[in-house]
Amino acid sequence: MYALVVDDSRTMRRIVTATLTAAGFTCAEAGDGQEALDVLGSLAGAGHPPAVATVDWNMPVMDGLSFVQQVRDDPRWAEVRLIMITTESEYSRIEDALRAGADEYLMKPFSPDDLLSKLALLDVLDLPAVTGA
Amino acid sequence: MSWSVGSSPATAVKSAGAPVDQLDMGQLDTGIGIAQPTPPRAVSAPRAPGLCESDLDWVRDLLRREAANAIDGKEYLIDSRLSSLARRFEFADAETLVAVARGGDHRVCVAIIEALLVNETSWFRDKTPFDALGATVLERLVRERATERRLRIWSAGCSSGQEAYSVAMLCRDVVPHGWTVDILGTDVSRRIVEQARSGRYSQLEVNRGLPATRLVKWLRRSGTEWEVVPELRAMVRWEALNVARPFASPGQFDVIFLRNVLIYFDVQTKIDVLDRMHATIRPDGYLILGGAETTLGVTDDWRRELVGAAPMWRPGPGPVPDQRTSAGTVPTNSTGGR
Amino acid sequence: MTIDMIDPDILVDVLGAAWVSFVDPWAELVPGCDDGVATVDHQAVVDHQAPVDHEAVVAEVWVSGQVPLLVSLNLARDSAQLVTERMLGGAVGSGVTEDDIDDAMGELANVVGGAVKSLLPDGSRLSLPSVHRTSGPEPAPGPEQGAVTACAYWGERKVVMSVRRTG
Repeated sequence: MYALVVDDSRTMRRIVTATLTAAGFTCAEAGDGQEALDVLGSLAGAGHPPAVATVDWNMPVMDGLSFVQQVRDDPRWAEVRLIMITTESEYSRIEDALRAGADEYLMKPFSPDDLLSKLALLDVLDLPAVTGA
Repeated sequence: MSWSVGSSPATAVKSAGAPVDQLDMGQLDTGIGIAQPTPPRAVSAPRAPGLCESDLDWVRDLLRREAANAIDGKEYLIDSRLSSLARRFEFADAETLVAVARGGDHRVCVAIIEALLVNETSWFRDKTPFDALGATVLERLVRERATERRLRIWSAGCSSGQEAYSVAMLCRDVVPHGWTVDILGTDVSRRIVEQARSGRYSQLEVNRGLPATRLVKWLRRSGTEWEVVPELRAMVRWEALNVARPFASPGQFDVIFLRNVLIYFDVQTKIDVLDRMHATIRPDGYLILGGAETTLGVTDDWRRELVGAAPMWRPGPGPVPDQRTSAGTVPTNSTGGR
Repeated sequence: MTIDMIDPDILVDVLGAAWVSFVDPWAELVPGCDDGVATVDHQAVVDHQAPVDHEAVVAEVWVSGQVPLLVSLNLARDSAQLVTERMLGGAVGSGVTEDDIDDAMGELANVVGGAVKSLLPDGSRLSLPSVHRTSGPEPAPGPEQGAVTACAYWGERKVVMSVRRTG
C-alpha cells in the first residue's frame, strides 16, 4: 500500500514516514499542498494511488486545509483517506478540517502508536498484525 | 494542565502534585510497617538505572503477595515506571526507591504497586470488540431487553476511563431514546478512578484511538486538556473496587469488560475473579476479555462465541479444559457462592 | 487575557510531551531553575575540558491575533544536534546537517507554539517557524514585563522557552 506524507518539516516527514514504512506502507513525500497535488497525480499515473495521505496544516505555498478541500473536490481521489497531523488543536480547527473532508485528525505531538491507531480507524491498517498486540 | 500520558510506558504520571497524597492506602493492604523517608533530592533527571535482578524479583514478589499480580519479565516496564515514580518522590533513581521500599516503607510500597498496575489504555482499544459491540451485541440486547428498556454494562479495570466512555458513545449511537443505560467503571486504584470520573484527558490521551468525529461530538477543550461533555459523563458511575478480592455484588450486567486484568493474576485468582464475574453477569450476557486472555484452561463455566471478529465469553458450559490437569494447576474453583 | 495566564509549567509539559513522542520515549523533561547560563553546554562548563561552545539555536514562532505573541525555544547547539539525531531516529554522531538541526528545532517550537495558541482566543494564527543561531552566551530571558519563561532539563541538558507579547 502507498502513503503520501505531506509536511513542510523534513523532520516530521521522516518521523511519519518511519512509522508508516514500519507498518508496511511505501511512502512518497511532499513539502506543501501544491507539491502534494502533483505527487498525488504522479503516484496515480504510475498506478499507485495512495491509500492514505497524512497532511500538515501550516505549510508554505498551499496549506493543508486547502489541499484537503481540493482533494475532496476531485472525484479521482475519493478513495484516498486523509489524516490531518498538525499542532492546530482548537476545537473549531478540528471541526473545520472535518468539514473540509479530512477523515481523521491527529494533534502534534503524537507517538507512533497514536498514528497507527488512526490508520486502524480508517481501515487502512490491521493494527494487531502490525504491532503484534 | 497535564500533557503527560499516565498510560504510556515512557511517562507514567508526571509531577502532578505530591504523589503521597494521591496514594490509595485503603485499597491495598500491604501489611508493611510505615516509615517516613526523607528522600534525597535529585538535582536533575537521573539516567535509566536498570534495576538489578534481586530488586526486580523483590518487586515482582511484592506484586504477587499484595496484589495477586504476576508480572513475568517486563524488566523495561518495571524500570521505566519505577524511574518515573522515583522522580515523583524525588529519589535519585529507581534503585533508591526500591531500597526504601525494601526497608519497609509502606507508602512507597503502595506507590510501586499502583505504578505497575496502571495499564496502557486508549479509546476503543483494539477496535474489534467495540466494532462487535456496536454492530451486533447492542442491537441483540436492544431486541432482547425490549420490555425492560434498560442495559447495564461494567468496565472492570477501567483505568483512566476511556473504555467506559467509549461504551457510552456506542450506546448513544445504537440504543433507542428512552432507554436507561447504566455504565459502571471500576478500578483497584482510587486515584485512577477519580481521574476517570473527572472526564479530563490530555491531548496525548485523546490522540490515541478516538475517532475525530467522536472527539468533536463528545469532548470539549478545557485549557490544554479535553473534557468529556456532561451528558456522556452522566451515563457512567465510578467506584474503586478490587476484583481480586470478594466484593458486594454490584448487580447484574448485560456486558462486562474485563480486559487485560486477568493477564496479571495467578491461576487461583483468575478462577476467583471469573467466578465473581459469573455471579454478576446475566445468563445471556457477554464477557469481553483482552486479546491475549481466555477462560480456557482456567474454568469451564464459560463458552467462547465469536461475535463478528471479536471473541466473547458467555455463561454456560465450555469445553472441558484438558490443559488444567496437564498443566498441573489448581483443579477446581474455590469461592462457590453462585 | 494577560500573558501571566500562561503558566510556565504548561510550556514544560507540552515540550515534555513532544520529548516522549519525538525525542526520547524513556526520559522525561524535568522543570528546573534557570542558572542564568542560558545556552552553554553544561557539561563542558563543569569539565573545564572542551572549549566552551557558546553557539545556541533559537527557534521561534509568532502567534497573531487578539494577543500577539512570540514563542521561542533556546538551546545549546550541541544539545540541539543530539535532539535532532534522536528525532531523526539516527545514532548519536550520525552526521545531521545544520539544516536538519534548524528544521527539527523549528518543529519543536511549532509544537510549543501550537499549544500556547490553543489557550488564546479563537481565531489566533500560527506562523511558520523561524530559526537562527546566536554566538556568545545568550542572557537568560529575565523576568521582564510581558514575558513568561520556563526551563526544562533533559539530563544535564537545558532547554529555555519563552513567550513574549509582541503588541
